[in-house]
Amino acid sequence: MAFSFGFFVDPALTTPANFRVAIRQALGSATPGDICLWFGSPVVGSMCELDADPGVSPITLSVVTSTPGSGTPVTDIRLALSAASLGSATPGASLALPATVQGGSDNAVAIYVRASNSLTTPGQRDNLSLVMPMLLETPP
Amino acid sequence: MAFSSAFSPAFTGGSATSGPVTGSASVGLAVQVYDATVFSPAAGYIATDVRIHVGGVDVSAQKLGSIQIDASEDAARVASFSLIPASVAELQAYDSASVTLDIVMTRGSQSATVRRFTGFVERVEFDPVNRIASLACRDGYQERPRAARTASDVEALFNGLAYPNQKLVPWSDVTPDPAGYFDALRQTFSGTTFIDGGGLWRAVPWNIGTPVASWGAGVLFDGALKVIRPARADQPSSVSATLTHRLPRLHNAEVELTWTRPDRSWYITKGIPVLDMTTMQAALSGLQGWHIKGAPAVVHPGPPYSYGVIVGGNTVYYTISQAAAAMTVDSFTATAMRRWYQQVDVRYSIDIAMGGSSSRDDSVALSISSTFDTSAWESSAPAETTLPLFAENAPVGLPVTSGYEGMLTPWPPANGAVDHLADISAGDVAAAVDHAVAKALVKAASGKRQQRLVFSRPLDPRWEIGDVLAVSDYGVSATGQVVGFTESIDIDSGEVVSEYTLACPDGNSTVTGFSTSVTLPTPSVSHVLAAPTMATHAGSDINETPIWPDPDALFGWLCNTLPTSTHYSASRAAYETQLRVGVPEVPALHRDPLTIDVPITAIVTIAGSGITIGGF
Repeated sequence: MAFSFGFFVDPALTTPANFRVAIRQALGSATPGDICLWFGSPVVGSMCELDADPGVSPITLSVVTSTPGSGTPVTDIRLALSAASLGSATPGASLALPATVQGGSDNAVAIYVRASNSLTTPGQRDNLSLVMPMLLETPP
Repeated sequence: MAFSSAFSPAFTGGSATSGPVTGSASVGLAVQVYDATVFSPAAGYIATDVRIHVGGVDVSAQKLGSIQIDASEDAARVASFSLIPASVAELQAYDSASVTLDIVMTRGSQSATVRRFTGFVERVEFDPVNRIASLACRDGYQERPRAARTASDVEALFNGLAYPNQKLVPWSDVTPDPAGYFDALRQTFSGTTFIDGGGLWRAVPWNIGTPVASWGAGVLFDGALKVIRPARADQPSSVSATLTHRLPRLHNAEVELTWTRPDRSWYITKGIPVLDMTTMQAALSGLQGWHIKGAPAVVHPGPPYSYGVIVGGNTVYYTISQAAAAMTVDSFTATAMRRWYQQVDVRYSIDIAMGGSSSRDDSVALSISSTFDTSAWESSAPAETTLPLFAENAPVGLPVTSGYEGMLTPWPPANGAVDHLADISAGDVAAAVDHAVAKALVKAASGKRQQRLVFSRPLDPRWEIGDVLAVSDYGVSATGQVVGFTESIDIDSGEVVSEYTLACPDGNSTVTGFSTSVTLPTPSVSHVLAAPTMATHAGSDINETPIWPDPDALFGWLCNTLPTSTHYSASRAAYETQLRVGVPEVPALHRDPLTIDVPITAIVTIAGSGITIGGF
């Protein structure tokens, strides 16, 4: 059985985010760019936990950069489990998901991402990723 | 270049076992900061490129020819482009692979990158002569509703702006039909749903407020401005919405039944029998469709059980035993009641004026029905609940009864009626009315939104479906909402064009919406029914008048004079001994199906300020 948990761009888990998800902002605009992703599995009955500490420690989602010191800094990104919490989220901080995430679209975890551009030059920057540690999936 | 295994839609890691597996999950971000000055009409060149990722792999260097992206309201966004695959494996990996298209525009230090398409490959056509693969792609618009598992999942696709109603559009957990449910709700959503360039589902209401961009003269392509007036068929004179609520109107009518014995001398001179309790009770309980409310009030002969009566100028005593007196009726009073239902259709309706001349019937007609077992409600009360328990000395403190206790609820008022909503609440009616008006509004607004402005300008991929734009050129001024766009980027010729279609309805607001209020009718029914008078009729009696009695007027105690009586006449009609009780008919007005028209009070607004055309 292949590992089925991942990120999707819809709550029904029909479109896996196996591409870079775009967050768009106008240069100089104070309006941040917000998007929502969903973490889960379309396999109903499956279960995902942290491999290092199954069912106990929360699954964490971190912002990492492939080019430290250049590109968009990780502190431009805020993560939250609700749109309302984005404003109070700590820039660049990781996000704690439940210790166990069940499969099926009913159990998908919504993850809100806000990009607040601190750079003064336009362009697309692909240096950031949202990463989870090694996970353990138990099939149905 | 060998094609990357990253084309696989599967996530990384994993092994082919049936037990627990490990893996990792990550997603890349593309932070696109665009400089709006790139899109200004200032002189100078703009370099345009399209970054294409198929299956997560950048294949931009392999593109050629024309790239086209088409988007419209309530439809899948489609894209088409051509690639030169590097290998058979790569060509085969195109099937169903994810696709993103990012438009990159630069002018000097200014640049803008805009993701314009996120979807998957729908079809691949390979031209082996030229080694070119043409890819047709679309987003997952159709799949998104179909993947919903619950009603709330579908309703969430409209951001709470649709009008779900389980009475009119039921959701079944047993046989879920998310696509059908989505289509039904979409008919009540004054807005549009689509998947944006970034792959995110959007539900945008048909509101036309302040434009996010305005263009004057000189920024559109010459001759690329077109005004499209609504077709005649899109403009009926009005759009009507009707909600019919079928419910039972429950009636209750009561009539007083009274009978009093004749002068006691009749028992002696005519020899007629007394009315006994058994006969009375049998007669009262045998009334077709009527019930006796509570127990009849009966007066029996009382002490001293011997009564002087004048017969032929002499006093003669009529004597009865105490035991017989208890079974003899001197008089009784009973309340007969009848309950019945009348089918009532309450029609709530509204007309939304469109101002058109088309005779096309564009009406919305919906219905709901109160579910109620009227047959059981009408039936008689069980005997154990109607027969009195105590003849004398009832326990102190018993509640006063109404006589209806044995009957199923609801109990309409005496000689009145109630409209019984049963499983439909007043709130359900209001919600169903909103659903109907919402459908009518969508029809009306859709018709008016067929007034459109189409224009082309140099590639400007900033705007999405639902954005409000303003245009003023060639004597035409309009503010409208983007309902569709086509973007063409020709890699070979360098021609890059955005064609936008704006809906510019002749509206009356900046918001498309409504508010309604309805008042449920309350029945104003007052039954005035009367039973025929009951008397005592002695048959075979010389004094019985008329000689040939009207059978329809014979009510009361029907008995016969004894043949040994001097009042006896063998030529007069003799009766079947009985207590004949008459009850009135229910008038048709309160019996036949009834339709009540109730207007819906509503404020309906359609966003838009139309198109101003000058220059004549």
